[in-house]
This record gives sequence, C-alpha cells and structure tokens, in this order.
Amino acid sequence: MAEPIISIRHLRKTFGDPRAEVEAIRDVSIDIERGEIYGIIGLSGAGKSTLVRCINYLERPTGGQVIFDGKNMAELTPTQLRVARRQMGMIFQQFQLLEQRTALRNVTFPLEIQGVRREDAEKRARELLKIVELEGREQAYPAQLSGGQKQRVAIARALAANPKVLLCDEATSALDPNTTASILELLRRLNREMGITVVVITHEMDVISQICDRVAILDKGVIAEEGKVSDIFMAPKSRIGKELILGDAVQDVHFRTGKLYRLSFDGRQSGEPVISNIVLHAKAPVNIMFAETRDVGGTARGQMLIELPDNEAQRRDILQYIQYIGIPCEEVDGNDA
Amino acid sequence: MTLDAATWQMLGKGFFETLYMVFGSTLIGYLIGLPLGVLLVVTRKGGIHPISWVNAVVGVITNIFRSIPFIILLIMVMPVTRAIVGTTLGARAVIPPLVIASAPYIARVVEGELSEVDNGVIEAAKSMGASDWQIIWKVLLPEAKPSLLLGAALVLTTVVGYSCMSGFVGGGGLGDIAIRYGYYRYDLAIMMITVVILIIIVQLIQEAGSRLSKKSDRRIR
Repeated sequence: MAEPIISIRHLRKTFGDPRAEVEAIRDVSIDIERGEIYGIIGLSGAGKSTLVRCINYLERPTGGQVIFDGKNMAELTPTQLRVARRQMGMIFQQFQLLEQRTALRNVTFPLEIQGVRREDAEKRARELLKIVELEGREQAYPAQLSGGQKQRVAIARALAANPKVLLCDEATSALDPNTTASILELLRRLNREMGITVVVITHEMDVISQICDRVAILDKGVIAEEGKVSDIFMAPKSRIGKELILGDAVQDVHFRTGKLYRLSFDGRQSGEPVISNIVLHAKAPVNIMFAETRDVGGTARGQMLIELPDNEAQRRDILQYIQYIGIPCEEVDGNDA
Repeated sequence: MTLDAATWQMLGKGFFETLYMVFGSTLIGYLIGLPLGVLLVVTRKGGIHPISWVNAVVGVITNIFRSIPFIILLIMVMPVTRAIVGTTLGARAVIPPLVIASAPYIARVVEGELSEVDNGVIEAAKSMGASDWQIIWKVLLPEAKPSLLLGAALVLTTVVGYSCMSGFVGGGGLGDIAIRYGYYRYDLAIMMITVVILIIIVQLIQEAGSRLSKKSDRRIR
C-alpha cells in the first residue's frame, strides 16, 4: 500500500501555561490512507476539533508529528506551511464564509491568495459551483443562501485550490437531517469522482455510518478504538464506542432471553451492512448466534440467527425495521435453532 | 445684532472652514489611526500575529493621547503646530492638534470594529494558506467595512465638536464665530445660528454614514 497521505505520530496538544495546562490531545497516532473517507468521532470535549486543527497546523502540536504527503509539518517554514495548507481544504460547522463577498468571490478567495488571474479564478469558481449544484447562485451573498447552500459554497471554496485532502470539522452539525444527507452525499461523490481524501470530524454516529470507510473513536484525548466502520459497528470494544453506537441501550440489555429470529438473505447487495444498519437504527444491540452467508456474484445469500434484546420496545423497533428493509424474518423457538 | 450680508458671508466662510478642518484632519487622522487600529487587533493576544510588547506600546501611547482633554492638547501642541504650519491661528493651524487628538481615537474605534470580525472566518482564511497581510486586506478590512463606515461618521461628528473648541485659541470655523460673537459679545442670535448649522452638519454626516454603511453591508437584505 502507498504511504498514508496523513500520518499522525504520538500527537500531543496542551493548552494554557505549564502550571494549569489542559491536555486536549494526549497521545494520538493514526494513518489516513489516500482516497479514503476517515472519520474521527467523539463526544464534545474529546479533542476532535483540536486534533483536526493540528493536522493543518492551525494549532501547533505540543508534541509528536504530523506527516502530510511525506512532509513533516513541524519542519516547514511559514511560507512552506501556507503552501501545505492550500493542499488541505477545510470546511466548518458555521461555514465561515466571507459575508461581504458573493458566492463566486468566496470561491475565488483561495485562488486570489495564490495570485491566480481573476478571470481564471472566476472560471474555476463557476465550474466548482456547478459541481456543488449551485449554478445560478454565483452572485448571491451568504445571507441570501440557506445553511445547506452555504456549506456547498464552503465546499467549493475548499476545493478551489485542488487540495489533496478535505478536512470537515462538524460540517453537518448545524444542518437539518435532510440537508445533512445531501451534504454527505456530495462529500461521498467528490471522494469517488475526484479521489480526494476526506477527514470527517463529528459527534454524530450517523455521519460516520453513512460515508466513512474507517473511523477512530476519540475519548479524552486518546483513541479508544480504530478500524473499519463496519467492524466497529458490529462489535464496538471500547466503553465509549458502545456508548456512541448503542446509546443508552448499552446499560440495560439482557441477552439469553431466548428471543431468536432467523433472517434469510435472498440476494440483497452484499455491500449493504444489514446488521449494522439494524443496530444503528434501533440503537440496540443484536446478538448473532449463527450465520451462514455467502457472497454470490455481489449478492448475499444465506441465513442468520439473531437474538434480540429482552426490551419489548427495542425488539418491536428492530422487527419493524427488518420488515421495512424487506428481509424475510421469522421467530424461532430457542430449542429448534 | 445684525444679520446683514457680511454676517452671512462670515457664517458661510466659517461653515466651509469647519468642513475643511473636520474632513482634512479626519482624513490625516485615519492615515495614522487606521494602521494603528489594525496593529492593535493584529498584535494582541489571540490576534493573527501576536506581539505583546508592540501591542502594549501602541496601547499605552493611544491611551496617553486619549486622556489629554482636547482644549489642553490644543495649547500643548502649539509649538508643533507652529513648526508644521508656520502659525497657530486660523483653520489650518487647528489641523495638527485635531489629527493628534483624532488619530488615537480612530485607532480605538477601528480596533473595536475589526474585533467584530468572526474569528472563525479568519481561521478559515488561514486554513486556505492566507498570509497575515492577506488576512488584513482581504478579510479584516472588507468584512468590517460597514462598521468602519459607521465608525467614520462617529469620528467625524466627534471631530466637529473638537474643531469648535479650537475657537478659544483662535482656530477659525464656526466654533470661532460662536465664541467670538456669542461668548465675548453676547450676540445670542449668531451663536444660535452657528449651533443650528453645526447640528445640521452633524446630522448630515451621521445620516450619510448610516446610509453608506447599510448600503455596503451584504449581511442584511
């Protein structure tokens, strides 16, 4: 495998003076591969925003290293650092558009900074606004745009300088669910079509499950666990992981209930993480007792025996969801399983 | 009391002298005060380029000049005025003290206005690789433009008041007329007329400032 685009080694960041310092990041090491969508999730105060700001050195780490595209960020001169930052686009929860500039001129901003000729910059900006589906709104000011549209302008602006990485700091946290979905879809599309690496910082598990390939769970300045999203969703190991994925349900779950159900897979896309989706939807754990599925030409065939929690409401919710996604399901007696 | 043609002519001359003093000194005041205001915002703790000693020095100097009452400053800077203008009488002679008084005031007003620019926007510009200069020219000043315009109206109206005080030391303009006729000769009518003209000037400046500010602001509409 090629070298990671971003390699974070033993990163540490403290704030305040030595007597009363706050350790925002204690010891974080992660590798973000080229072309992937990497999620960093944590509760508020976990250090996510600090971590992402250390990647482009908006915050200078107290210790450890950030290697971006083979370059050690700590060793760059101020000028080189600015050049490196241009290769990392960034979007924010509050969009941070220039309020006194039109959408078009917001997108040309990073190009102006680099000294690109105005007409060239505007040509590129128009293309980008088209990509983010804002054609026709070039002359609108941010105040005239909706939250989702503002974030689209911000995305176009972040892409203007052709960055290798897009850093998203709680980019959908200020948006309603529908707008969130459309922005996530846009990010996914940009990732696929342009091959840009995307780093997503969020406190929402849904965001991770919808677009991320891999995820790191950050808790109190350290990585609690890291891995493929599907793996972490199926079996979160850390306490914080369970809390984020299963929510409050994690405490009051009793298995060995004998509530067994058989799911039959009859050719749905095997790429679809059915069990993860069930778990995410119901925010309740599912115990897999037995499974035999086979990938046949891109479709999953087989069956699975799952045990559902004792909680009546959770069980009903799960069964309704299973019915909704159209997977045949039947309750089986514990004895003939 | 005589409101003959000569009196009106004198009032007309005073009116233009006042405008000349106010706009001339405010313009020069901004040439000095605006960079100082930028410097105060940029070099402060948490600013885009913190240098604490520069911030402290500029801060103390502005505070010193801001603490001297203008009427006293007028007398204190007379040697400077004579050195620059060649005289301490007339409208031109009031410009140096007005500049010295307005520049630190402008610096503080500008500092306040630039502080309103959202830190997040500045951070976004940094993330795009903007240099400190680019942040000042392309983010701080343009984003603060509506409040800078409003602030300019505030400064101009304050300087109108200052310019009138200069009448006590023979400064010229409407203040000079009001003091000479109204105070020394008890000519209430002329004093009232100058006051009305001053009120109109202040109203016009304020109205123009508010309108320009509103017109330039893209956040509302």
